[in-house]
Amino acid sequence: MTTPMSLPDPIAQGVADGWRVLDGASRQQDLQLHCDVLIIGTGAGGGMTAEVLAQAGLDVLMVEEGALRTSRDFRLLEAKAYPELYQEAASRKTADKGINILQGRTVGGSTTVNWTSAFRTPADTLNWWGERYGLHGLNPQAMTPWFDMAEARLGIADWQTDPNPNNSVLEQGCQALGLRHGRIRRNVRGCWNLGYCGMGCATNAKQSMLVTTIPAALQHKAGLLARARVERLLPTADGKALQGAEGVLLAADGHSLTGRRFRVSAGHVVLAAGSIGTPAILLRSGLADSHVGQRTFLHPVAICGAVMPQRIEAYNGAPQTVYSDHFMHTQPLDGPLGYKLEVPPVHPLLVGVTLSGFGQQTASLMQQLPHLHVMLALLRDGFHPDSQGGVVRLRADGSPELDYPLNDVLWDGVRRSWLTMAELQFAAGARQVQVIHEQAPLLSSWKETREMIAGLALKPLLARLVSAHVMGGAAMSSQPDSGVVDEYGRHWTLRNLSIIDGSIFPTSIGANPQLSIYAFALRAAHQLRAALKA
Amino acid sequence: MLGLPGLPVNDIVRGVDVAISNLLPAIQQELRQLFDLLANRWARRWLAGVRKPWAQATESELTAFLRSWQHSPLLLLRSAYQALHALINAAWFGNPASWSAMGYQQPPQIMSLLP
Ligand SMILES: Cc1cc2nc3c(=O)[nH]c(=O)nc-3n(C[C@H](O)[C@H](O)[C@H](O)COP(=O)(O)OP(=O)(O)OC[C@H]3O[C@@H](n4cnc5c(N)ncnc54)[C@H](O)[C@@H]3O)c2cc1C
Ligand code: SF4
Repeated sequence: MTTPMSLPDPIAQGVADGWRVLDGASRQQDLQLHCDVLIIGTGAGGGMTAEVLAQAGLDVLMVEEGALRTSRDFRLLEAKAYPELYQEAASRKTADKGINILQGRTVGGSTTVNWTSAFRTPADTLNWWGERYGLHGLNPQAMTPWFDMAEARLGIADWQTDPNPNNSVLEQGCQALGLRHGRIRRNVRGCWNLGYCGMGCATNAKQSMLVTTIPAALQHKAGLLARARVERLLPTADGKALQGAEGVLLAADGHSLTGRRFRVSAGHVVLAAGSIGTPAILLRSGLADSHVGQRTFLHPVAICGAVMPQRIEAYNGAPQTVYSDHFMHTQPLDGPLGYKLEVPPVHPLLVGVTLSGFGQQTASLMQQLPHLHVMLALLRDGFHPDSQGGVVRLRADGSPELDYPLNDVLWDGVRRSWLTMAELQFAAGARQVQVIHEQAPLLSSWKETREMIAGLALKPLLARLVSAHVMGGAAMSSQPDSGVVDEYGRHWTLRNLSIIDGSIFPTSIGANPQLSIYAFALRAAHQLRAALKA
Repeated sequence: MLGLPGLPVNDIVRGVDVAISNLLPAIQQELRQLFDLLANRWARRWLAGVRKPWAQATESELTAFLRSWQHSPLLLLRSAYQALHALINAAWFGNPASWSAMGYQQPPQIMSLLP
């Protein structure tokens, strides 16, 4: 018998070879740790920061609420991946439950499960931050070297393979209607074009923090404590700095408490628990000024499905490779909300919970899964004066909740985007189109669909809205009283606290955010490294 | 809810239990209240509009109940419907037993290489 070839798991190998990795679930006692720099959260911001600081010889400790899961744990199985790798088992919701939020909760954070689309922060957005918020240091020219550096580090490049049929529908629709569109760059090396990025990449092709910066930091003697939730930061007696942080260790199921606690004393603390997560820690610590948790953005996503005559198999092939920014530029930045068009990977569990309707109607649509095409419109929130995003608050038990009210300016964008998506799908040859709204029937002509969309009630939990891009909630600002941190993520009042993650953005990005966070994190981490080594 | 005959109901119920066990305590609490409400015969009658005990309810009664909550003017009832919808759909479509009827399979070129 021949032994089947198996896939390598360099991270598991590194742990076996003696990296400094602790699992909160297996500790029998409370933990007391010390380090130069404590990094809370191991996603896009935390991962990038860890590598830069550990390489400089600083003693870095990363603390992560999720577990350390590596490629051998990634089985292309939604029912396993969502509870193990996502916040609230991929069912986190806004307070009125109107928007379903996807966020990662594992070593590597959302980068371990994201869909590998890489866009630089649009120049429009950076210029707006300069004009509107005085953040002139982040202009497109000044940011270019940081984008270059992030792209080089993570293998971000043009994707040479043909788009899968799900993406081709978007491309063909844009061609038919004469809308501007393009191909998406991806952070992959040696990608197998499988399409299961959302369940963790089993081949380690995706250049997430899990397989790039975190192992590099561990190789430079950084430590990692997983299944450990930071509850609060610990201020010094004079209240001007932090001593460190403390929290609880989580059991093997990932959520129950073991009863053991941990405490870390640190010279410097980097908060990188992501939007919602970072504001929650500041709120629990009693260290939140009036800006913390405010203006949290989502790029709320409206959805439209289509039954195509040809096989689409939207579960196979790189998930997002074609986009259109046409409707990002048809009105002023602070006018009616612009939207970016993309397509998602379509796997049975997620599509089953996302489709509207029940019974026969859904069953017959699900039976045509191989022919199902799905399109997304990501609305650019945070620029229009009425688009203030949501507010993070704490429940009685200390867990965070995002209150994101849905208002007219948002609904207007949702309706326009449904019209665009349905028109595109018919233009690309769709047999039938299904707006994802509880009152929308499956229709077979553009004219009927257009009339139907005009009459749809715009209410939460009738229209299906989702988000995989949580941003903001601890905004940077040019003046101490108008935000939480400066443009390097340095906290305005706590001397040794930095925030380096997606929560520092003063508006949404207007593009998939990972590369914006990587570039900002590199810039902030290099500044911090210089300050700490001085 | 699923509109399919001959489903392995016990497996789906187990799947719902597993899904609930992975949620935050605060959300589990909300679902507890929902299931307690549904188990209360007055609530079943007046809020869900189902006269007979659940096990004896007809398909059309169940459909009417789901539809009225799905489209309810009350956000709370819509969210209760959505919670049931999400749990049951996740439990069934997350179960490999549902896949062949949809013509879905995991990519064979890699499955044999996984541990
Ligand atoms: C399914 C999905 C698909 C996506 N696709 C794309 C894409 O294709 N392109 C793109 O650009 N972006 C994509 N994104 C978004 C992108 O991945 C995120 O914007 C980015 O990773 C956010 O980085 P972050 O550092 O702010 O937070 P995260 O990467 O979310 O990391 C935060 C980490 O902090 C941990 N944490 C939180 N609270 C605590 C605590 N109290 N104690 C300890 N640890 C804590 C969390 O568990 C998490 O691991 C996607 C996201 C998801 C979920
Ligand atoms: S498509 Fe590429 S990056 Fe995504 S999971 Fe498959 S191999 Fe990994």
